[in-house]
Amino acid sequence: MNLLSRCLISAALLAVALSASAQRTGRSRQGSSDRQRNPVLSTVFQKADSVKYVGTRKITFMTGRGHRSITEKVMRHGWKMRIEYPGETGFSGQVIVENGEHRLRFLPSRKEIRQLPPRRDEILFGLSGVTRTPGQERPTVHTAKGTVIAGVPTKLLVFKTKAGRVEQRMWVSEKHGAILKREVLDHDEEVSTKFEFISIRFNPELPKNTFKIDAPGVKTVTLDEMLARESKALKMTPYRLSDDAKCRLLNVSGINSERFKALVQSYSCRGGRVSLYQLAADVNPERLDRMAGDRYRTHAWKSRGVSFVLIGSVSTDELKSLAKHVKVGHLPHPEPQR
Amino acid sequence: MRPDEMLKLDKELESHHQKAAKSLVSSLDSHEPSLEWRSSLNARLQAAGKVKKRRAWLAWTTAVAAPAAAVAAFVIFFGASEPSQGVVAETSVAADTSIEDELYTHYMASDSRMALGLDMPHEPGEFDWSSIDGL
Repeated sequence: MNLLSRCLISAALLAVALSASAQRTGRSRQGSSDRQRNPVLSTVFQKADSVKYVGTRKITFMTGRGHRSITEKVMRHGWKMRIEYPGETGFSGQVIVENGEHRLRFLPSRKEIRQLPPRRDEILFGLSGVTRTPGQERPTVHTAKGTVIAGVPTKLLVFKTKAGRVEQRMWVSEKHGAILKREVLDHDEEVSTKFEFISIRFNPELPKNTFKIDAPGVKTVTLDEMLARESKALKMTPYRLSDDAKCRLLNVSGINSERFKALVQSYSCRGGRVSLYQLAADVNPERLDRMAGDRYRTHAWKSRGVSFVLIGSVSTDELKSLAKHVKVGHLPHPEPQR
Repeated sequence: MRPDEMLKLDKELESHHQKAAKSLVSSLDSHEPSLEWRSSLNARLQAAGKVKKRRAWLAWTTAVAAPAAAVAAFVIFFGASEPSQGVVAETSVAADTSIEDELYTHYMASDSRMALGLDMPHEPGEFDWSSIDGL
């Protein structure tokens, strides 16, 4: 485990302790669990390095066209993970492997492996609520008896804001320290993203090559190459956060809707996650800020005819500071699209 | 006004229905009745007495109840016959959203996926999303 992960786990455990402490001071008087420490969440962190299972889960997420659900097969040992898609999903053959150093996405139709940073740290951030926007209180964690998920008894953790709005729900197997179901809710307390295990088997024998992708002759594509490729497809000069911003690029994507095109880059910065949107369309900063509410912060500006938007879980001052580091990116020449 | 109320108002004002109504209203001629006309109307109303009031109440009740009954009948006979198609609903939502809406939704979706460690599988161009069950 690297130093960053150790720091994150310590911060996460501290956040859990602080949350429990805040509950004990009487912020919320609903239920006896509020006045206790939260051993369930602590168990998840403590067993994160050793939990081992194979299972099938249904994931549901938002897209531009509404919610979509997909079934995936998951094999996990500690922070190493392999995800495959059953044949009926239409994504058969695609494989995601998190091997501790990278998150590798094998796309057989494109004959390439996309090399991304591991998600371990991001998941830890998400679990602990460490990425709360500065000035905003961390959610309180309420514990209750959960339902049986995939044949396994669970404890239910409900994350609530000070105003009582539910942000997340987690069904945890206390025995195994595994999250068997998890929901993230939007401002209207509607589920925006979730996963739920349909079946799971703990401590199975996993083949030695579980966390490797055997695809000889396949090209490995880096994030820089993805950025070059995406900006070429959108016919945009790519801008990016320069190295002195001390943020790590997590992912690159593009929006090509009827109304506008945008190059999107997700970064992990000191204060939390931030996304940079580069558009050839006007943006109303006030409206965007209202949209983000108390959950995120936004900063929008225009330079040389290009609109830029930074959205994230960091302070507005930090976003403004990051904006000064948005510069034209020096990228490798993209290979022709297959 | 609270930010979430302003947001809802923004969305409603930008919907196609509102835009259509807005253009319809703005195209109407503005008639400002004179004070003389108003005072003569008041005098006539006072003279009309209770009988007129009762008739007016009856007329108003009929005017409100008849369309309401028609709407209810329409909903009962036509509204429940076919469930609304998801595709149609999504299209109308997309048409009414702004760039800021799309950016915020995109970020929230991506942030939630990142927090849960989830990935959207790569979508080949020909893939039919409708073959996957919805929420």
